Amino acid sequence: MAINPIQISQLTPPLNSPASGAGFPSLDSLPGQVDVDLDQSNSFGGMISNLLSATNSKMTEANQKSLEMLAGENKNIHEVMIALEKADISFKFLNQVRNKAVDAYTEIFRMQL
Amino acid sequence: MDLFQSMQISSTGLAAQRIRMNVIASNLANINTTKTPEGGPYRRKDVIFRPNQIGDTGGGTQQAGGGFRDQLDRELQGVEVSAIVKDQTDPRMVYNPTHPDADGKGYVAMPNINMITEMVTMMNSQRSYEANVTAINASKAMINKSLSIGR
Repeated sequence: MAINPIQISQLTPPLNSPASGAGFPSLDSLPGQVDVDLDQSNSFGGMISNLLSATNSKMTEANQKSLEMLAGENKNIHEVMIALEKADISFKFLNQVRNKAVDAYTEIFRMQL
Repeated sequence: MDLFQSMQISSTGLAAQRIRMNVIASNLANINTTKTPEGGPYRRKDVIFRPNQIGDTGGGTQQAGGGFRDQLDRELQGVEVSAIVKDQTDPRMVYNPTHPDADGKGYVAMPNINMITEMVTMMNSQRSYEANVTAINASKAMINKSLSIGR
């Protein structure tokens, strides 16, 4: 579950763009036009989707192992329990990240304009 | 995944102790077995452990990496059973002329298993298993603690 730091340069336009004579960025490089590529794994959205798929695969694995255990195919009960724990912890982590993101969103939503 | 590495290591310990427990069960079950397909009485079996690489980085490029994390990953080792060996001590000779497997002098070769030794080994195995479970629970508690940062 590698979390890549979000590069500041991705979120803010470069301040020393050519048209910024008075120290302001030009219209071409306003924050709304910064293209954040969601497919890239180092964007926030990409990170979240990586996290989601990792958690999902953990849960699928835990489910699969429990079913095998109940069917009598898997002989090691500790593997099942550890898979369940991994799925549990991964989900808790994902939930915490989601909570933090929602907190940040509501904080911005309540901002005075 | 780095987060679950300690659990993975403890898991190999649990698997190894389960195999050891199976071998002890086999020894206890065959404590009176006087005839085996290989000939002679059942012989006590024992497990041999060896470390195995957990941080399977896969590929020579990672092995050549000199970063501290790479070094650390290479140092992490789980355990696995390398072999199940037969105890080569002599069988216990018991005088019992009526037994079908008795030799010319009336002695029967009984397995070289001491029940007390097996019981002690079993307790040892059980405690090792518990220790591994405790390690798993401790790392889980640590992860859960770190999830509650800022709450």
